[in-house]
Amino acid sequence: MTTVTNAATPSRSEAAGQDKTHPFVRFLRVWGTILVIAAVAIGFSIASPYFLTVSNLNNIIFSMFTCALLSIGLTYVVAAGSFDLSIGTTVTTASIVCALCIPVVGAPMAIVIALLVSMLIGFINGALVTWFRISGIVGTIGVMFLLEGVNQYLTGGYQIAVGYDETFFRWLGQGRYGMIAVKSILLFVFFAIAYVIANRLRTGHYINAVGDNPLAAYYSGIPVYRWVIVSFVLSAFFCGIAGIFLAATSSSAQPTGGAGYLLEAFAAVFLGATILGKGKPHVLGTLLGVFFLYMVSNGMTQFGIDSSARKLFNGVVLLVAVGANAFLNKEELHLKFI
Amino acid sequence: MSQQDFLEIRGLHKDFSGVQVLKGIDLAFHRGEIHALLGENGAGKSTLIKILTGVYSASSGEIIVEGNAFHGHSPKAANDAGLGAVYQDAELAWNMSVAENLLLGSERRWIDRRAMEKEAKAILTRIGLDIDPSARAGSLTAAQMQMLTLATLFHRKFKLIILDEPTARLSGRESELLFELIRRFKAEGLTIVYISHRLNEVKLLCDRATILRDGKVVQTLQREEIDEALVTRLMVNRSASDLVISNPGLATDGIALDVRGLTTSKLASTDLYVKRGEILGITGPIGGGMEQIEKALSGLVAYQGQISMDGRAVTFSSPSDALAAGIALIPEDRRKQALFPNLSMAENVSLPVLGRLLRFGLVLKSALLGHGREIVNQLSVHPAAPATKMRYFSGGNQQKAVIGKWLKRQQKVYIFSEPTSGVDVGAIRQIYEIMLKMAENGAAIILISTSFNELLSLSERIMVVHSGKVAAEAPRSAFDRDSLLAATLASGSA
Repeated sequence: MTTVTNAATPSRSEAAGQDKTHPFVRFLRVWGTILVIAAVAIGFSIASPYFLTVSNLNNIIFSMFTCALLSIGLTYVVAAGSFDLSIGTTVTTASIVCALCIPVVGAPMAIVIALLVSMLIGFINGALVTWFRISGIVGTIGVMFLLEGVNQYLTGGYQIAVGYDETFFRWLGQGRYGMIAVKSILLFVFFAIAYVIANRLRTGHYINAVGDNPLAAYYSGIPVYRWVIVSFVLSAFFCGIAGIFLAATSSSAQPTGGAGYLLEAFAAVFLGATILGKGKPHVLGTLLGVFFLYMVSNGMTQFGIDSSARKLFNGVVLLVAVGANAFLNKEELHLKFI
Repeated sequence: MSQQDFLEIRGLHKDFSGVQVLKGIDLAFHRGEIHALLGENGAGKSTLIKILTGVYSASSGEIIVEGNAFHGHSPKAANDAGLGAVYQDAELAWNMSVAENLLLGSERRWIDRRAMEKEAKAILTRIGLDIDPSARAGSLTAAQMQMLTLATLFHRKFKLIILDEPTARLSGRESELLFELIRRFKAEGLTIVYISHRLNEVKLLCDRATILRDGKVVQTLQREEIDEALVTRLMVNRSASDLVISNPGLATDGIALDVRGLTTSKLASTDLYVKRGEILGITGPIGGGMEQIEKALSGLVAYQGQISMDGRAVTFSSPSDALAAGIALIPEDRRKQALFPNLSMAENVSLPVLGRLLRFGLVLKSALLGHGREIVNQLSVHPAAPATKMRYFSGGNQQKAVIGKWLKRQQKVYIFSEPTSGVDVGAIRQIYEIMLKMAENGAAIILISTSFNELLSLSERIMVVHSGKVAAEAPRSAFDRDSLLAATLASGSA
């Protein structure tokens, strides 16, 4: 097709229609959250010579591992326009399944089984919110309760130990190269995989499209349900990895090991959505969001700041970052209260 | 301010972070007049409406309502001053009854459903509407919803009602009913501000018409001065003859799509075919069955009958089936059904061909942008910014993007549903040219439209569908504006 002659004189507002905001506001929108993270990091480094050392950075990354994987997985689900509240318990289930299977089938096979079980959970979540028409919040709360029951039943309420002779398995969670933990290195590997899925494979693009306008996606011939289910399976897959490493790190599986990470993950995803001014969840933002939460926790611990103050700080940062971003991105009307 | 003025606007300016959208509007609306507001998308109409309804506040200038200065800072303030608007998508609470919607905000302390329905019935009867007050609002037709919304504003004692493209989803007959209602409101002394792209409606209905261009008032015309050529020239600042276009006859011999006995719950057995390169126009009253053809052929509704493409039988149970077979739908409600507002222009137009843009199985940003730029250039999208989010583009350019989505998929059949609804005059011609070019390249096109101008300009053959049946089918040359109108209206009396 050849170019159509441009018959219309472009109207002015059309030409300027892209972004009518002040450059400074635009700058804040993109870099605001990162500036805050950097400022806090610089503050800690000045106050404590120990803060900005390889060993301490490794500590931060090591401690954020589980939360980071959960949050990255959750990012896909939120991008697809749903919620997954079962992620915490999925982590627990994966670690229990893995720990139970190791004595029977060996560590490598146990890892595979744990991942398959997690993905099955994700598939069930996805099926519930699509074919079975249950809202993401309600459906995954249901699954969360189910899994709590399963976890209780499988463990009988006690921890399940992993044998000391499982050297490979324990290396995953506890191995080190000098000052750097194997787990810390692997976090970046998993992040790279997640990043490629989100940005460089069709999967991520379709998930974004479905989340942005599911009706248009359906009209465009995109199998909407499939991509929603895929987002839940991805979420559960990363939970599975997190669960396996949780068991590997502590050489045991706890009946309620992963439950505490759920709300942190949500905080990280929505904090991450403000990073680089994307206004929607993205895996790089999520990773930085998790890093920020754990960095603050690490820094404050070094200064002996009480954990109540830490929680207070996290709450304020989340509200200010998300609130400021919503304010800078002001739409005409705000009428969504989910 | 003269006696007859209900509302006067003086030197109204509005800028968004330094970009001037309204550049000094001076305008007065009389009591009991129907006043049309005309202008291209981006001329400032919607900004002006939003200031009058309190959604935005003005940067400078005054608005005087019945002699008092109006400082609109909130929709509540506008309500209190008696200013209200009905938008294209009538805002109703779908799961509440007609009566509950109508009386929303003025309920008595003790809710008595039967009393409410009685009160609602009285109001509806007074303005001549025959709607069951106990019906669920969501079960009404588009026209009834529009009229219920109007009734709601009437009941709340609004004195100035702004109507934004009220007939966009209505058939000719339904529009007539709406016009009747509007005239009755006028007789009651209400001021109506009427926004429409359809000039014949404006001529029929309005007492005066103000043309906006580039954030300024160009001219206010009296009813008898309203003339299509003049208005178009004032709106786009160039001659209306630029808009005349006709199909030179592009049909070839091969039949691209052949449909036999297409039947749905709202459509009796229908046969139709489209040749390669042909544009088949389909029109009729809304709800009369033409949208059933569109939905069945794009896999959105269950149907019986045989569909064959290039001689091969196909069946559709979802849009992806239809697309795989080679039929793409460019739907009417593009914002809801075709666009991803927060994805970039490039991502929007790339989605259907993402598989082809892969390099080593990966989606590279450069490939996306490259594809986006190609489409943007081909269709003269303005601004030519493939990385910009879709929601920042105007209606006409968004429509180009919807077409652009399917360009590289080389579909055999394109179904356009109201392709220029909500598109500014300048872009309409471009979209027509794009459609003709597609036909010239061998695509079969089904144009479903209620704009006779559009049908007569583009089609080679026209079908009129009403009451779920094909009422007329003939080459374009057999029709003119009047005979099309007659064929469409004949349905209603049947």
